[in-house]
Amino acid sequence: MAKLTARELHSSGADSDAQDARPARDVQRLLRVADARDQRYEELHNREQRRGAAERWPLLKATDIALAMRRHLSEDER
Amino acid sequence: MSSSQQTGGIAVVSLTGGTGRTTVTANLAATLASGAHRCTAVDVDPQNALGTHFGMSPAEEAGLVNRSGLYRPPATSSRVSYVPFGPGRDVARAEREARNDPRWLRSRLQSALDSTTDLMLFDTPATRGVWLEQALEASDTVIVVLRPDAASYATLPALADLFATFSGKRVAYVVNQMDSRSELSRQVQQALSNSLGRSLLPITIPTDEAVREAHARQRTITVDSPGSQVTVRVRHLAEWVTEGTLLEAGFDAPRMP
Repeated sequence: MAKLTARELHSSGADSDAQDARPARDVQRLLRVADARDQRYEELHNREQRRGAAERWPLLKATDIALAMRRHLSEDER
Repeated sequence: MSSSQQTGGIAVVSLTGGTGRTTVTANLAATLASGAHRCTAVDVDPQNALGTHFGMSPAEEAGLVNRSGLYRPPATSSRVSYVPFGPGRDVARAEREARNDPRWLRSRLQSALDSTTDLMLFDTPATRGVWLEQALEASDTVIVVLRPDAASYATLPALADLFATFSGKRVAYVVNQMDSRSELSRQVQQALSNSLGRSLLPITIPTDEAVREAHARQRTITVDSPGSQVTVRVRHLAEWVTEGTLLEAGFDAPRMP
């Protein structure tokens, strides 16, 4: 997956021999941030797609609400 | 599988009519039976329609609820042994017995099936009641058949309630009769994927007139049209189900594309 922008790569020193001294952990940190960002984007994308279908088809929306209520009640019971 | 091992029970379930549950059961049974498994398809639905896929006459008298005996015909063209539900007049008595004994189905089959049967596939009714509950009690694996429509989607909360009651089963969902040209079908499939996550199998069975034609010939499509996409997808489902059932692979480890 493409995780880092060119600026991030440059500033992290990952693409520069001259900056090899930069600690590897900075690169790891940036990769983790990028991973989280990608995952969040994917979640939002899926949610948007689902909302689009649900808005168009009321029975899907009603079912989503019922499922959400059920999850909520299950969490309360726990 | 040796006789000392327990026979695996697989319930094929849906909570709305018209999903193709019985057809999936018949085709899956035929596919499993054509491989290394001794598979018996058991009709636990009072509609008594499963056997018609295997050449059973609609006038057949024997069956699960018939006190005089189960009907286990020899291998048919699809090599599947099957147990019909039985005639309507015997249903009320059997239903009373089943209500009083949650393991009625298990006991009934235990005495009838020989030790070489290693898989039992249960076709179930589309309503929650004693027969569906008997089939779930006798199963360790459940396949939920959904159509890519709003009616199937609307059953998800009731299915979740059902599996909260019958917990500890491997449950997987499969979309049947998919028409990828339909925008609604694609959107419902996406919604199903979002709601069910990895429980929705990555195997979609397409809609195909050849399925109805095979039924009219009293054959499964796996025999009638072995090269069809439906046959291929059912084979994928059978491979996956078999691993999940017999190899304890778990239903969260799909491997089919």
